[in-house]
Amino acid sequence: MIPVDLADLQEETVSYLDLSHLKTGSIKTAVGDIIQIDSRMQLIDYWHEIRARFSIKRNDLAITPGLYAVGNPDQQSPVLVTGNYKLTFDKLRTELTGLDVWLMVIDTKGVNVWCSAGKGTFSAQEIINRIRKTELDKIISHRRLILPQLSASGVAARFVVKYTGFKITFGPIRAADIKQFIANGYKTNAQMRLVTFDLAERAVLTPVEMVMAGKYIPIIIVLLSLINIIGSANPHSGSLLESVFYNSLAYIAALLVGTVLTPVMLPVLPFRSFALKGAAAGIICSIMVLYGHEFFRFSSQWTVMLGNSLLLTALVSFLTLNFTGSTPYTSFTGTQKETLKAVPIQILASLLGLVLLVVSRFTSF
Amino acid sequence: MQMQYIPGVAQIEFFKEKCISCGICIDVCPHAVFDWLDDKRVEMVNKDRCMECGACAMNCPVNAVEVKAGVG
Repeated sequence: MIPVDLADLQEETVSYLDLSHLKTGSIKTAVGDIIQIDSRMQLIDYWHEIRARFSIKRNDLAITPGLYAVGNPDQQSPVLVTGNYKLTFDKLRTELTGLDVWLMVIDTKGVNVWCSAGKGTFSAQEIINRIRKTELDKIISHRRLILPQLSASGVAARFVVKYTGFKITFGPIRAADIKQFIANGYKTNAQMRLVTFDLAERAVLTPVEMVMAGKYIPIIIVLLSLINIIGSANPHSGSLLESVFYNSLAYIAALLVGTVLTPVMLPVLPFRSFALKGAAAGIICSIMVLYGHEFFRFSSQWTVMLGNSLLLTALVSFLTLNFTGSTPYTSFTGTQKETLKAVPIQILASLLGLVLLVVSRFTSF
Repeated sequence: MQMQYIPGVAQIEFFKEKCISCGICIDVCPHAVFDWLDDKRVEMVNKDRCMECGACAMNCPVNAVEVKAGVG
């Protein structure tokens, strides 16, 4: 029997990324040395970004909470507060080249600023805890913390000042605006406060959506195989394997349309409802299959055409509706409202589509 | 560009009579739902842009804003 040490167990459940490659030195303070970190990206940091963007062990990207130094901060230097998600930390520190600042990384369980604020981990309480743990009041002489604006949904700033004496200033949304914010006398302007969702910001989210949708591929292959096996009304031109393979390509194309094309094309797709935007894109997908049915090895029966169109449209509509969870402008009430309306229709359309495909295997329609 | 979601659904309420016009809601809102009216008073100028993040309600010192906030 190997004795289990409780301390080891705790160590294992919370494991933080090694940041030793970023250490450039240390800053002496009244409470000891604080790690000074590089503001540049290194190869391993790009790997962490790829992991985050493609959802490869994405929940393992937490860094050690605590105080870090960028440049050579002293008692008067500003303190920027952020979460302990590696991608967040990288986006912030790489915008700080040339500045002398303290970074107070709080424990947000390895989650980004906005999501952790929404979930309650980026909170006044955690900031108060972290101020005490890092003994920040002994390290700096001023009493001001700069928080990212998007943490405001989790942080009641007035409680932090009440319990610690530290006054909170909400800074810009984007780390890229920090230098201008500081030059501006610690004031944001209207443009810094507005969240954006431009083409690049939408495109960068698509790999995760794509990876998540990958789980539907086995289901698609099983269903298409079953449909190809049953019945005998219309013999295949090629082998069973060939039919299933090319049939599946139509559905994989729909997965790509729903997870990559619709997020990218979001503002040009008609309607405000995501389910309807998706349905519009799904119809385009269906037209592609109608015209390319020979390539996709679908027979030209009307039941096959209509059945596939219904399934493809429902699929793209569903995937697009899912994307409401990743945008920075959809409200919970709005999403709930359209989900309750759209999902039953998507399910009905899919079932009808499947019935038509089954019918097509037993009849000449 | 500014994107808008389904209009008329956001569950946010602004109680003007309670508001002391400190402006914190303007500072924290990522969608400019609030703005200064003649530089003195705060007004809710674009309710339909609200995504119910709850930042304004969380930071309003006099509970002049109520939001039914969702998670994330």
